[in-house]
Amino acid sequence: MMVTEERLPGWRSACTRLFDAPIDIAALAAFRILFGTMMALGMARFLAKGWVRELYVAPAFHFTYPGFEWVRPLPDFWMHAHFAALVLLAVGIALGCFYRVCVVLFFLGFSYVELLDQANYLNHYYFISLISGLMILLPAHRAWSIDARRAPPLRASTVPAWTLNLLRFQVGVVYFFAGLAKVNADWLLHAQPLRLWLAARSDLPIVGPWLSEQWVACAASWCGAIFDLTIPFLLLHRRTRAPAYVAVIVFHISTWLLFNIGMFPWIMMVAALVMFPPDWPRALASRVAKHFGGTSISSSPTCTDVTPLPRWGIALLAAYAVVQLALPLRPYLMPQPPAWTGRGFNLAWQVMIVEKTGFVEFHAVDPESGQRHRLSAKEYLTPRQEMMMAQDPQLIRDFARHLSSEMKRRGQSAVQINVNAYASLNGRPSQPMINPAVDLAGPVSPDWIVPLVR
Amino acid sequence: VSSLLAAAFIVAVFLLDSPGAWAEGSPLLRVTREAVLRDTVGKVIAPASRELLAKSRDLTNALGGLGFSSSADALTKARQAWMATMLAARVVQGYEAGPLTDRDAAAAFSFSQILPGRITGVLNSTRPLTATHVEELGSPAKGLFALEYLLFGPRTTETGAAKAASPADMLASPQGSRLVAYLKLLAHDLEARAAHVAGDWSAADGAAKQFIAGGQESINTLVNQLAMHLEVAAENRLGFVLRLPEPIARQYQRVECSASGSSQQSVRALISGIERYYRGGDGAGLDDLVNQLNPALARRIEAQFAATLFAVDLLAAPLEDVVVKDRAALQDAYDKARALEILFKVDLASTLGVTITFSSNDGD
Repeated sequence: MMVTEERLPGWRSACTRLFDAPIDIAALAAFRILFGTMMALGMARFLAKGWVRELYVAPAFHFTYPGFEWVRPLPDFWMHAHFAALVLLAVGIALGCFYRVCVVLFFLGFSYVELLDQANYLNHYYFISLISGLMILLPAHRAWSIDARRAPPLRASTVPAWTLNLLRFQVGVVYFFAGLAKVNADWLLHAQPLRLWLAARSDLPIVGPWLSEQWVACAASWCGAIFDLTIPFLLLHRRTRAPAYVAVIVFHISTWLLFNIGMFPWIMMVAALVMFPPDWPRALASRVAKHFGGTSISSSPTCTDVTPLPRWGIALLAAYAVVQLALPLRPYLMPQPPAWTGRGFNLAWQVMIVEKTGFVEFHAVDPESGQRHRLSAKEYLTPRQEMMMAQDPQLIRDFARHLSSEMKRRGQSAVQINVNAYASLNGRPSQPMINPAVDLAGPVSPDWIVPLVR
Repeated sequence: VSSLLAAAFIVAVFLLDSPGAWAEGSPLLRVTREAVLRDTVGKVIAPASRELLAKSRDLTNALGGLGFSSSADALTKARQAWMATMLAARVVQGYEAGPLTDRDAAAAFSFSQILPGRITGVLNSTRPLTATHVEELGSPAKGLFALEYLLFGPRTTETGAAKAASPADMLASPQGSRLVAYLKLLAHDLEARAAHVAGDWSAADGAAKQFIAGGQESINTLVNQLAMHLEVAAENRLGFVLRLPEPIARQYQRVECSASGSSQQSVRALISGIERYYRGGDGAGLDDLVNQLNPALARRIEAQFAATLFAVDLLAAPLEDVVVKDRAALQDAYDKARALEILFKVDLASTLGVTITFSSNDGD
């Protein structure tokens, strides 16, 4: 690893190391290539599995985010074209071909997709949006890219340290807060939801029989929490880095095999590489070359000066960091568990800590006659949306309002929407989730969500 | 290199062995999903489909007796055979997937409101009654519930007289031979469908093998089916009668099995059939899996099945009569069945890692 800054005293030295020290661009360029490749595969997988139609085109109703109700899905053909364009943009990012244009458009295009429906929220989609947003700022195309080949003045062998540290911060936040979210009684004392999830895989060969054992779930829970809480620090430390990355591989491959969590393990295995020294790709290439009898094919670049980050740039990064630290702390300020109420659960790295199954039915009630009839959600929602909604009181309320407005549109104005909603959280017996007497179409009192029986 | 080796080892452990091979011999795993599926299909689904076939044959034979004699005794035997077939069909209905739907047999045994005018039209028509003719009839004029209408006649209203002639009168009338022919064709149609379903479940390389090989997918389907039919029992049978507008007597034709006066037996057979599927008969069932994963839930489900069946037994009369005479008892049975439905849709689904994929109102 290159260390170029002169020895400066106190905070200035620390700031220089964090922000302005020139570091090898190799890690950043490698991250660009791996991230772009991963995204291209991910978007192509989306198309191949037919999820574009299933998630965005088929539903007649979307659970839009507050303030983003104007974000609407495109027609079938154009939605598919949008994903095809995301594949091309991701390839552009990987190749470093018109990188800035590609990464800006990818960020906008991917975030647009994510804003379409809250029922599709996944932590790793949020992570991708954040990373692609950050990459707009990063000069990751100044080496090992078509852009650099085409425009020699663009080429650089070093970048300021903040570029890599920003990614390290983001990856560290994900792991650390995912670990912090596991510090609770369900996870550590009752080994839930791992007990349920592991036991569900008890038919697997060799390891299967052990997975239904309680002590295995307990051990896995504790190991998982310790892993998430410590892995960013262990990866940053030279002496612990190698075993820590082995742990990353083992952990994420295991979760990939045991649970249906898509691209997340692979994305995190790639993302964890940012914790390595900036010259890791060159070091790896040298070792591979040596192994095959060659000589080192590339060496770390000599020190070059980089433009220091202006004060407003530091302020911007600090503001971003504050937001990223504050958002995952929201759940700890809530009186009821966010997993139960749906408030403060998203954007907080509450990763894989909840097994929640819900059931909901909607009733239109005439307040004058007391007559009630059951409403079908099937007309508006796909089975997947219905399943996601049944777990989340906020989505249930959104849909109740939609049903109410639909009924008003059909001339049935004075109708209340009541629900029978039950849910089970982390193996607890099912219980009512929403007060069945509350009209969800109108203003609700603060106690409309029934508190979780602990 | 160490990372790659670790990854390769984990992948190899998971992928290189045949599923279940180690699990079978392990003392740690008491019941496997494979065992549950094997026993559920071998001890409940396949026997239930064979039972339906046997009862359908009995029905065909009993209707054969009507051809020689239109005595009250022959009619009684035919009615008893119909009841037995209906009860067997309610058990089969608990798992309405696989051959039952693949063979398009579900509708023939499920309740749908028949249209008396359509049936009278068939009886009064001069067109020869053939299997092709029956095949062309829509569900309001064929299937198990057209047979019920023809054998039992429409239920009389509370005020007295039947609006149509009784089956006994019909059999004695000049139309009697055409009625018998119609009944036989309908019964043959049912028997043929039941034979297809039973054959598919019993074939060596058939549906049973697919069901067992389906693993978690089959568990998902099974739990979804049982949950859906608990909803049918609670909402479309017990709850439906509770919600009928007054006067109830005008709504009889909307109640399943009202013509035969067996609506209470029907819903009981459906729920007890679902319990049989849940238990895997006398073998390994979902109950054993649940007991392994969440013993408290297993006890709650068992208690709720018992409470629900007890409440339904207490009704001891057709639902459409109970709703008038003892509405509280019917409400209690509904509440118990509803609680059982929630246990399946939420707690059981959560414990077994099952996604409930059917939407409410998917049931019949």
